[in-house]
Amino acid sequence: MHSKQIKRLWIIFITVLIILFFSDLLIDRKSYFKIDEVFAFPSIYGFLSCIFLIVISKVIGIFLKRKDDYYDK
Amino acid sequence: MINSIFIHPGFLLIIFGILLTLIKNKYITIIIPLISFFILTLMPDGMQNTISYHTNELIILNIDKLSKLFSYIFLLILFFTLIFSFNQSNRKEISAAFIYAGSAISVILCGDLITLFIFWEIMAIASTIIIWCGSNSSYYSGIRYLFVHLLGGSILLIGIIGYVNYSGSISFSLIDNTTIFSYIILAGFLINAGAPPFSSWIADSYPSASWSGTVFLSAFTTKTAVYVLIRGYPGYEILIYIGIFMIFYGIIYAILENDMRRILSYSIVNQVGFMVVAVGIGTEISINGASSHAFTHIIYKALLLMSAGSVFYITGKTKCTDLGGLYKTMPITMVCGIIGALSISSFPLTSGFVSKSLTMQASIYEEMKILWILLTMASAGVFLHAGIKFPWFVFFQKDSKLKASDPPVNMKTSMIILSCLCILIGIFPGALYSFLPYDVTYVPYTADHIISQLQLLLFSGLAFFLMLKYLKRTLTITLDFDWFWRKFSLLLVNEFNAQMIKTITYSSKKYMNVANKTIKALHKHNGPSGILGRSWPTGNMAFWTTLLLGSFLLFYLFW
Repeated sequence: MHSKQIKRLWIIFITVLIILFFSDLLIDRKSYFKIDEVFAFPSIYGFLSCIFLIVISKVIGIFLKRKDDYYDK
Repeated sequence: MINSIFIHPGFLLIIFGILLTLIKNKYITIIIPLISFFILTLMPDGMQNTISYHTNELIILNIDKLSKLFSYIFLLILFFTLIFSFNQSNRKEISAAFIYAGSAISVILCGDLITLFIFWEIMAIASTIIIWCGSNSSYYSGIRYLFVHLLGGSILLIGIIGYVNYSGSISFSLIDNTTIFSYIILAGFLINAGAPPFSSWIADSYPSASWSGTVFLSAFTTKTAVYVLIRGYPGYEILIYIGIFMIFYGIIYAILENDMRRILSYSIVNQVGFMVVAVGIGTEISINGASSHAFTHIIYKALLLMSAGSVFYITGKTKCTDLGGLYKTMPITMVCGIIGALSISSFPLTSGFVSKSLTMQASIYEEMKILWILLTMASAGVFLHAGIKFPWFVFFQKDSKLKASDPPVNMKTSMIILSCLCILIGIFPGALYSFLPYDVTYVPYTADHIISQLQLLLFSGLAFFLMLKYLKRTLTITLDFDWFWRKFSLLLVNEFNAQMIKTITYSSKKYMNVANKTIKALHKHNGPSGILGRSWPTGNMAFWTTLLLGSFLLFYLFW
């Protein structure tokens, strides 16, 4: 893909994200527990969860990663 | 006694599987699952068939909504995977697949623990044969797979014997937790579901099967385990904790993994974790959640593995480090793969959205706040590790410059139909809901639910692309519990050998000394010149004899 196309895709993606983020203003999102009353909770929580999971897996990887022929030796 | 003349849908597949080596025409094979399917539709709910065996009545057929739902999806996926695997030249694999699917359906349809155990074991053996059909290197992973499953089978047998002895009944229904044996049976079931510490068998064995074998394997074993958990153990709280562990284990290991089929295998553990949690919650809506999730999961997981299998079939490669940029040469495989990936991530308008939501909703109804927070985090994680990671590293990423094209028409057809099923179930969930064991009042499509889900998933996507630098694939594997029996046991044996040799050399030296001394001492006294071994002259002998006889004479005369 050309870098121009990639740039265009990013612009579309970010626009969709912004619309979704502020859609909380338009739609009355039901909240079941206290924590999800926070504005745009799914966006923020989804983003942070993924960062958290990647960091955790990186840390675990430090201890448990081996070359892929580890068991063949 | 057989109540009426009938054909058992599972037995039919097993018998056909055995005869399959005699049949040359591969197109005939796809008719058999259809016949089984048709027979099953004729069987009314509540129908039972028993056969007498010694003093027991074995319930080989027990039809209700739940057993029908699972049998339908097993037959459906067998049918489409058979179409997908027309190009598989190894007919042994297809034969084993029939026996495997047939025994899985027999487990689903049976109503007692003895029949369950028998087909449980046949399933383990047939699936091992499928793994062995993979390649030369799949022999050892097949052995490890068999080891785990025979262990699980033995544990199950111990549990069943104890349970039957205690309760006096062989029937398999809701198991009340009064004895230790019900927990032993649970442990046997959980090993097949991929629960810790044996989760590694899935990612170890499934990817060693052939491009078509992995698709067969993905459907039956773990989902049969989910089925027996739904039947026997709904509402067992421990299942929630085990399920949560499986969910996060699957995500973290899949993030670290390089091989595309291993990524998808870890994601099976993750998805089964959701179902195990649902069984643990144990309410009507969560049991519906577990059943419908199993149903939709079988379809989209088969679709994902077919897409990965096609890539493997065409390029011969499975590692993300070797793949990439295939969207240009394999567009249909890419689109189908993405539909599977969106379904597994519960994107609105796909099958995952209407099934997994039931479990999420169950946690809300039961006011399990922490569980809901964890499940929501996991939903984001699923999109991360399977939803984007799999298509991104296989079809986009860098240009791997591999020569490729879309696979043959039968493989494409089966992927396209399964993709359509994923979307159709997503758009019309009512059809699926009508097959579930309990009535469904839940409505998945509300503006609020759609927006929340889209926010969650798309911002996870943003996190993926921002962190792409840290997700770069390397030629590595991640150690797991199987390290203990693959490496540690080897180290232990080597260490034992080394110590043994040391001890033997040391002790042999020591005992050689003692032995030498003993021999020397013996030699001294009993040797040719020793006092006890010396040869005496004949005169001596005559002298002593005369003396003896003389003294005897003197005693005789004068006593």
